[in-house]
Parts: sequence; structure tokens; C-alpha cells
Amino acid sequence: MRVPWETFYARYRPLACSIAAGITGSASDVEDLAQEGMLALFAALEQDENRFDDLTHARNYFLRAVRNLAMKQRERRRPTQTLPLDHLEERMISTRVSSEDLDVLQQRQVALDLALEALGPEDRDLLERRFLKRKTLESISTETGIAVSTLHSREKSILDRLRRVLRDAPEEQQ
Amino acid sequence: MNANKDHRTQLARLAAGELDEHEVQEVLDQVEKDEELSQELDALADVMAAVDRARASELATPVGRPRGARLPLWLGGLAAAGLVLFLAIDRRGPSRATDTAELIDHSIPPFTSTTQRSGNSGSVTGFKEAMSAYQGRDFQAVRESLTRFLDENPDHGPALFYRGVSHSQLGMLEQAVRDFDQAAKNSRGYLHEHSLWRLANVRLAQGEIGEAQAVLLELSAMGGEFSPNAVDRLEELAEQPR
Repeated sequence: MRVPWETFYARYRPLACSIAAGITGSASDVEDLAQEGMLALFAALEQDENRFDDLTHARNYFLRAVRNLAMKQRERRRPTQTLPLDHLEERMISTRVSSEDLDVLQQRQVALDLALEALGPEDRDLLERRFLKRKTLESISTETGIAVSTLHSREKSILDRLRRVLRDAPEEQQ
Repeated sequence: MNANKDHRTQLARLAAGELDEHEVQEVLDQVEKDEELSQELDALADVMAAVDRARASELATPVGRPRGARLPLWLGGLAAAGLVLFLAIDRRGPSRATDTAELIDHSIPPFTSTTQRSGNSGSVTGFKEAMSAYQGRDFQAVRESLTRFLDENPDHGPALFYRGVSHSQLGMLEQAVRDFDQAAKNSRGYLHEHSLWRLANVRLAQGEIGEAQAVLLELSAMGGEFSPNAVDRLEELAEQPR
């Protein structure tokens, strides 16, 4: 089955940006590096349309590509390259994935969106600070006055809850 | 147990951008060997994407309307209904994947926020049809479906964006300009910036350098995710011979 690149990119872009940020130490280039990673993925597909057995295989390739690109950028200290997204929209990723798999992916997204709405504002704020703004627990502790150990426990609790949403397990009653 | 705990901790640190290149490689090596860890990574990626969508939806407010920026009542009702449904599913305990299947009819592509929906279930179907056509690269069908959808939902940012993309693909650049401009006015966050970025590129394709530069300057000043792209493009334009 052919998967639209937007589906794949939307799913893994934030993770790819975090990988890039950790290696380059800069938040400003991470979007471009993620886009360059997608171009590397498509370059591989141009050589062999059936290169990737499944989305997991493509994911691993993409994340490794972003890692390598981030390392090169840091070493060369080259300026950010502008990458137009326009030409990507004609690309599809060929993998062995069924329409049911895509339905499940969409259901996961819907379920997570609802689960996030059900979280308290402090929990959502913690997720945003950690995984979008990429702040350490220590810096969040400084900003909020909440102990690092408390933040760590809360983060674990939130992620465990969201994992259960994805795994379809009954949530423990508190 | 300790190994699993350590791996989960490392995944969380990966997601938070705390790992250097060696640690990233170790994690990715382990993920490729361990199916459970691979699924954990996907779960974390999904959470991050959901947080990203949630932030975009929080930033989204109706703009460009003379009556001012206020959320329509149906949006709050839809969110509340969704929450009630989720809690009901939670208490009953059956498969979440199965129970959320009924929500699929109201879901929209991951690129767009799930709260940027139309309250009209019929037009939501039309939007889904457009997205199916989009995935099939039938841009004429996308354009037609979204035009019908936008007749009922004229301020729908994602629909305007996708129709702008379709117009671009069909070479209808003036129409693309109008759509991206309206999409930018009716969205916030990533979609807003992306709309401006595509608007600038269409202007460049039209040879409207001045217009493109104005949009790029606006993007660069925003300091958002597309700002570095805008800065680089402006530098390129400045270097081009007149």
C-alpha cells in the first residue's frame, strides 16, 4: 500500500525534531533537518520503490537519516538550507501496510487527542514543555517550583496512561 | 525489568531531545532489535504528534471575521461530547480501538487539528472524500470536493490550505494565492505558518518577487517554525541578480 508522506511525516516529525535538537544543540534548524530526512527517505525510494518492508522500516531509516544529517550540520556549522515542501506532496511511501493499519493509526490519533483533552492543564503543560519545547526536568523544576522527582513521576504517570490508551488496556481506577 | 525501565527512560529522553548522537544510535539500534521497544517508540511518537496537534488547536481561533474572534458554541459542545464518549468508553472497558471506530467519520487528516472540524456531519464526509482524492493525487477531484465543502464552511483553514495545494498542482496560481491567503487568516500555529510559506512560494512561481518578499518578511519576523526557511529564502532572493 502507498502511504501519503504527510501521514508518515506528521507522525514522526516531532520525534525527528527532538533527535536533531539533541545533537545540534539548536532548535532553529530542526525542522529543516527533519525535512532533509524525508528527502533522504525519498532518495532511497527512488533507487528502490520497495526498499522498505513496512512503516517501521521506513521510520528507522528516517530517524537514522535525521541523526546523521544533524551530526553533519553540527560538524560543518553550515547554515540552514531552505527546502521547499511543495515537491514532496507528490510522493508516496510504498510499504506493506493495509488500509486497516491506516485506520488503526487514525484511531490512535483520535483516541490520543481525546485522552489529551481529558488530561489536566498541568499535565498537558508538562508534555508540551518536555516534548515540544524540549526542556529538561531540571529547567521545568526551576520554572515551576515543582521538585524534579515529582515531575519525573508525573511524566511517567502521564505516559503510562497514554500508553494504555494506545494498548487498549482498562485504566486503573484511582 | 530494569532493562525495560532504562529503555523507557531513554526513549523519553530521546523524545525530549536530551540524547547525543551516540546515545541516539544506541537507542535506535535497540529499537530495531526489540519489537516491544519499537512499539514504545511509535507510542511516544504518537503522543508527541498529539501534543503538537493539541498545541495547534489551542492556538487556533477564528480570525478574519468582522464579528471578532470567538469559538463557536458547537466546538465546545463537540469537545464535551467527545470527552463524555471517551469517559463512557473508559468505564465500559471494551477495546478502545474498536470503540473509537465510530469517531473515524469525524476525524480529519493528521496534518490538521482534530478540533478544526465542521459541525455539519454531511460536510465532514465531503471533507473526507476530498482527503481520499488527495491521497490518490486526484487534485481536480480534491478541488471540486473542497469547493463544495467550503461553500458551507468558508472559514475552514485546513480545507482552504488543501484546496490551495490542489490549485497549485493544477497550475491555477491565482486561485492558490487566494486560498493560501485565506488559510493563513483562518488558522494559527503550524498551519498558519505553512500557509504563508506556500503563499510565498506561489508568489515566487508567479514572478511576484515583491509580494513574496513581503510574506517572507512576515514569516521571518514571527520567529516560528518556518522562520529559518523564510530567512534563507530572503537571502537567496537578495543574492539574485536584478
